[in-house]
Amino acid sequence: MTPILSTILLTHVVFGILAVAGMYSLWMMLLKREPNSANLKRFSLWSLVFILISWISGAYYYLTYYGAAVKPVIKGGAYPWAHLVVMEAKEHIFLFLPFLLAVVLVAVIFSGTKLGQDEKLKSALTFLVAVMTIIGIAITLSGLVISGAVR
Amino acid sequence: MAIKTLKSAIWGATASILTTTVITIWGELNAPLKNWLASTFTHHWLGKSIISVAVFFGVWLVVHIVSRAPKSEDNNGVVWLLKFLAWIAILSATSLVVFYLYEFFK
Repeated sequence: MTPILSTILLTHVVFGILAVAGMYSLWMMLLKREPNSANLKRFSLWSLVFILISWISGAYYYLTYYGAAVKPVIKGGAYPWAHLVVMEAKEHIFLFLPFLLAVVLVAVIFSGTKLGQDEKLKSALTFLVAVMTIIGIAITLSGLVISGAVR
Repeated sequence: MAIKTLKSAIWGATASILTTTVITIWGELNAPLKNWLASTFTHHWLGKSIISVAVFFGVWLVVHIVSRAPKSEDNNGVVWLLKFLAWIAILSATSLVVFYLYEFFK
């Protein structure tokens, strides 16, 4: 792998983890009785930016290197399921995250400072953010499984 | 920012997630669809990525244009839609995992 591709792969991983950390932070903020509206906006915006960077860098790595150099190694190795199940599911479920984050960003902008007073809206948004975070953590762990299967 | 904008965004995300899930499973079962995605967009996954973005913004825009502004600032519809979107994400992710497990073990 060239240094540029290594950097792009690292970008995908680091920004993906930052996005998931941002989602988890949003979840914890929403569990507070009076969530800070400015922090919710800031974290949802940055998480969306991070997931977009991870998406673009991951796409470049996947399209230019993974398919030709990594996929055949995994499929021919001891853990073919790491590609055939884990990677296949991961690469498609990942596509849910930018849109879920976009909705969360619009929701926190829309609700503004009212979120603390509207328990039903806060509860529904917390549920959505919790689902999004759990999907994000599962995708991150899937990446570890796929990396391990190449070695 | 109106409730209408948020509701439209939720419908856009719901449609995008469902489209990604359906064309992924359908593409695996129907080679011509996967081949069409690959030939049109250079790679089937790139095609799904582009389609997911197009569906999100397309549905957001269309729902925003055709839906009426709510008479009150009642959030009940938004609450229901946020939960609906979360369940669509859960069911779609589960469907994809179960589908690829089935394909592996069959």
